[in-house]
Amino acid sequence: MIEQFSLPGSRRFLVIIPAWNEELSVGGVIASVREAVPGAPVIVIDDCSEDATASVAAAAGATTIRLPCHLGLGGCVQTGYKFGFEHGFDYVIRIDADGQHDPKDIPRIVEALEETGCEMVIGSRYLGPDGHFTSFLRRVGIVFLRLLLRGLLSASIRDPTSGFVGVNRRALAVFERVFPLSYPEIEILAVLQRRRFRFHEIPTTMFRRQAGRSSIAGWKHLHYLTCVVLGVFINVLKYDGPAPPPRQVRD
Amino acid sequence: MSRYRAAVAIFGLVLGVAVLRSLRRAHIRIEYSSIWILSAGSIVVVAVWPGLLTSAAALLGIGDETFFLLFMTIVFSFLMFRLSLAVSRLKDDNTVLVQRVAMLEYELNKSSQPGPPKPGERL
Repeated sequence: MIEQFSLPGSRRFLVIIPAWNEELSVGGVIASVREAVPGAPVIVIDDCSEDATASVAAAAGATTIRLPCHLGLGGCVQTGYKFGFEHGFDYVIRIDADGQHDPKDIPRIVEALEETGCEMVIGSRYLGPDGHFTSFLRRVGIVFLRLLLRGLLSASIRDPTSGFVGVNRRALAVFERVFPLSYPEIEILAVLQRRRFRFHEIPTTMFRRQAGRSSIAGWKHLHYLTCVVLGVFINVLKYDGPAPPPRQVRD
Repeated sequence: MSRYRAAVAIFGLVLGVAVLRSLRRAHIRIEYSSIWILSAGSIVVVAVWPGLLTSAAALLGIGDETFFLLFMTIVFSFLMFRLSLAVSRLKDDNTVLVQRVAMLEYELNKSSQPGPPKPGERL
């Protein structure tokens, strides 16, 4: 099952790992990805880390793109999408550098992209039987965002803040030009709907962070929610006209 | 001069000095500093001679000092909006440039990277 994705002539995918100050965990994540999808190209986009993230990534055998200035998550992820688009990859799979995602799920995300034809497949921590390790505040925020997205976009999504995401080339063609730069996970759903693209969720395993702490903690939850809600509203306002309900694919 | 007027005058002076220091250190461009210098000067002048506010309102035919201040707030808000547009545009341009530089740097140094950037091949 895994080997077919690295055989010549098959649909080709790139794994991108956006990283900022993740020297303690990025090496392990790269090794896990190598083990889960041998032969798959892996690129770490180092968002101008102040620690040894870039050198650890390079030592672990990943290709590393170093941003000369800190851009934030959106700019970092978009760099990976631009790279994937410009180098002709069919799919780009994003996985976080903190070790929370299980790279063994990558082939299933690629499979889902191929089988459903959706522009985006989201690995959801809330669809599977495994535990999901989120703080109470974050859980409350996710429930709020689910309701917001259901109301605004007529879309039902279980894990709108997931960073374990696969996109196809049609999505790459858009994201390499238009991509939310601050808090991309939620706003990108609004961008998808504006383009009448489809998304699909599959259950994935979620671990605890291997090291470091989330950039969204404490009072930043409130700031995050405010910015996300504003971003989603702005994207809704950008609609050219009434859009049909999103063609969400379900299991 | 009352304590409040003195405090406002000192605030204006501090603002003016901060802007001039930023100019001297090239932290702010002249075209973006003029509005702040004008603001700092106006604050000091009005704090020292508050009657000028009434005269300025009368000169513009507004009559009421409160509405004159509201008018100035509106003007200032538009200027701030213009500056925010400039900052946003610069930030977007900066993002594109940083991404492009990073990818070009990768292309230049890829011989020292673990592998070629072709799809389907190990990087």
